[in-house]
Amino acid sequence: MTKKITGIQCGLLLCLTTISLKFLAFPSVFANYAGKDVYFSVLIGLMLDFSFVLIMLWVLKQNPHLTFFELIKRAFGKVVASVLLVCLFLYFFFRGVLVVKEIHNYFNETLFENIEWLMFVIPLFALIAFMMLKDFRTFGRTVQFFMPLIALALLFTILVPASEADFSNILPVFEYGVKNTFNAVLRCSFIFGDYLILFVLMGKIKFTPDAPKKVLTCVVITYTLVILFYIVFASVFGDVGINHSLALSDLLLYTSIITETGTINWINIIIWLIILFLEVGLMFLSASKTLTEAFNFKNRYIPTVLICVLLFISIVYLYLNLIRAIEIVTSLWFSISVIAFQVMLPILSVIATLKLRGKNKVTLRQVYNQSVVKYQLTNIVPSNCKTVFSNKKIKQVKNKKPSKINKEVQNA
Amino acid sequence: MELTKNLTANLNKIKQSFGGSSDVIIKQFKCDFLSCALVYLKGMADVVSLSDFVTRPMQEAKNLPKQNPYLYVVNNIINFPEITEQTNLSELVTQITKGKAVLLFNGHSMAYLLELDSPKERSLTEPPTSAVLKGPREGFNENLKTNIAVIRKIFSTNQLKTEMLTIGKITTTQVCVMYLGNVADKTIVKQIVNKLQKINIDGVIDSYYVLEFLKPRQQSMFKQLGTTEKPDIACAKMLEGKIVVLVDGSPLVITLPFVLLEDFQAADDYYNISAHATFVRVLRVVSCLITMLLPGLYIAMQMFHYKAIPLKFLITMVNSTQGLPLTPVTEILFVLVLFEILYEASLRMPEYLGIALSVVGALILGDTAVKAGIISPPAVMIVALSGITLYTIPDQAQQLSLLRFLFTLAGSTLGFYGLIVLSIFFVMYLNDFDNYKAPYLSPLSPYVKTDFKDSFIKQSLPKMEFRPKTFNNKNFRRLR
Repeated sequence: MTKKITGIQCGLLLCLTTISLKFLAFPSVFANYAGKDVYFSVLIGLMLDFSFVLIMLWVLKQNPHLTFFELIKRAFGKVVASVLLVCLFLYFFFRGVLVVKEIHNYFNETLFENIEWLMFVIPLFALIAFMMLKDFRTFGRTVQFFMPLIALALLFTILVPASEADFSNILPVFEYGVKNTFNAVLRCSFIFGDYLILFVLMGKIKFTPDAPKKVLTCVVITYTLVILFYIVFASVFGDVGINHSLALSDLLLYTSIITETGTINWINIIIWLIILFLEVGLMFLSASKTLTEAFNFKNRYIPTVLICVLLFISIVYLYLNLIRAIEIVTSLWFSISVIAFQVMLPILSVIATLKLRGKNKVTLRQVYNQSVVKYQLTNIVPSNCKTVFSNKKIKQVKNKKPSKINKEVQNA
Repeated sequence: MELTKNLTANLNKIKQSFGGSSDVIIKQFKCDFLSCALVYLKGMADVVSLSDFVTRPMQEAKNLPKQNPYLYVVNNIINFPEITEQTNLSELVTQITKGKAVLLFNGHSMAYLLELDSPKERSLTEPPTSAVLKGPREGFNENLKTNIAVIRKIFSTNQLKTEMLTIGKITTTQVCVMYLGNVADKTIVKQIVNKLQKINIDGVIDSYYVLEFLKPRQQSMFKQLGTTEKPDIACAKMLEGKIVVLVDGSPLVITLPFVLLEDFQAADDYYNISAHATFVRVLRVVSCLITMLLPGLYIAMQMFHYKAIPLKFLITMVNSTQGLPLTPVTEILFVLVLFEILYEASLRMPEYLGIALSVVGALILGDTAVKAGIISPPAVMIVALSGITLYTIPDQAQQLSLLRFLFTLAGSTLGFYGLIVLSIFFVMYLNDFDNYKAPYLSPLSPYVKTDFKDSFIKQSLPKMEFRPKTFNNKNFRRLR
């Protein structure tokens, strides 16, 4: 039986995906294209993401029990579904690799003089492999457990530099032109598309009536914090943001409060490291689940070992450099492909949902009739009735006599 | 094997079953025209009651009816309410070993079991591991019937259900599953009873034997089931929807499902003001973190992240660790192991040697070893602090002690990186537990809002309207 996550856990996983890649290396990449208008680029990107989140929530509401693979398979066939899942796998895998490189750089800058590769890689691989063997419910609970710390770290990272930032640095707006702002969104499209995690979570969420509200609340709060971070980044560094490739640690070092309260900064660093580890775990867990669904692996160790081998090849053997990885990610052809993928998936899901609506889907009328029969037989209002109908409707179920009941409904 | 109508044959069979054991007492006597025999184990049955209520009235009985005199004797002559009938020899022998007396008649194939057992039992004293300043001081003892009676005294309701089982081929130990019928989840009760019925073992000496079989994860080092020696705690847990398992011969009662938070709560919290209870609970959480993480953090900062240490403390530390023969890791592990040895020795040694060992331990560790330059004062202080905070949560002492070692090793090899990786690993591992449908780290993860009123904070009782939703209760509302 699939262990399902709650609405709030879904929101928190989306929140964690949103945070990933946006706080360390990419602020300087944005600044490279958009200059001081980084926050505008992020605002545009996140607004687009938000619209896709709304679309995905509608798709989830229509298909609360179907996985993405099942949905696409029923509408377009197994081959299309497998191909899309493989693309999703590649997306999350590459995102995970980027986060691993960020962790390594962050460690080198903040904690260690120069951490040895093997000492860094072995425990990380062990932890990633362990995380990949778990399910989203365990991960959701872990994120819930650490969420107070994550929230504190985010607020600290934003509010402390904000207290000394010169907000006039972000003016005038669009100093280098609107085109550069949109160019930044295009080139850094890989770090957007956080809603793609919802495709992996499809069929694994306990979709109660208030679940979308909880997800949207988490999303709005996270997006607001991300935008605030970029505003503070632009305010503190202005035109020289391009030189700060580790935005998170550099931002805090440029405040006088930190030099006086070094211990708090260390605590902040430790919490951010926890966040980064959780991010990398989530990326590879998503990659593992998509691979499992695409190839229908019965043994969960197979995708885990495969991903670990691929990770080893890309990080250790190829020694993938973060700068090189960012160059690939921000290249024009890669960015356009990613944008196409990010747009195509929600559209395909909507088409699939509309296509399936006319087919074997049980209508609300059928559910109502089945509920009437069940109530008449057992004197219990079925649970699906409680989640789908209002209290007034449930009272009608109790009072209605079953009349034109076909064989199928009788067997319910 | 069934009993026959011949008294001598039956008595011979019983003697054979006990293999000539010298504590089997067989008293033959006459009741009017009937030949009777009483069989019991020396020291197990209450001989005074046997004499007063059974043998004397029977010996003095006259004019027994010719038709069915046995029933007449049992119903009218013997002044005793608890009499059961039995024809099976092996069951009869089992009941004799449990302290019952058996009455046999010549010419009758039925034996009568008399509940006249008087086991020697300890009084219901306060358990040493759960001492309280205020509140009830009664504790369980080793007698199952007494323990059941103590719980029944608190729950004067027909909703208190019991299910009795016998486990152990040789010991035939009685085990009782108790729960509140209108609160507990029956599917979990069924699951527990099924697990108990599947136990196929030669003997059960203590409830820990049963606990090992009830654990959802056999190899895990984390505590998975609750235990208590106090009836008020057991009853409070049953009111929350939990199930209690009592084992004959053990004062330790098993409660399940279990969540980690329970060990941060103490009985005292419910008999004191809420604000103080909250303060103490937060203190316990902080103590738990200090116990687990302090030695590892100290090592990590000393070896990898000295920049994180405030300058004045760093200078003190450098001065005190100069010239030591041991590396920081070896030093801390050495002191940790020494403390564990001291703890183990203080548990096992006779009381009158306790003071001597305390003095020796304190002198050797606290003074001589430091003055000799083998270990440094900060190391002793760190490990001592970690050791003291370990016992703010005595029920988790074993696990925290092991975790302390693991975190020390992680910190010494990889610094903060190792500590963080290990922390995430353990949090994920614990979040994967569903302990009889109760998430192990509830109400933190998953977040259960109503359960927070009695978690790390303790609200006053009038505000706790609902039972904990973590435990899948049938009847959520406890207060109106």
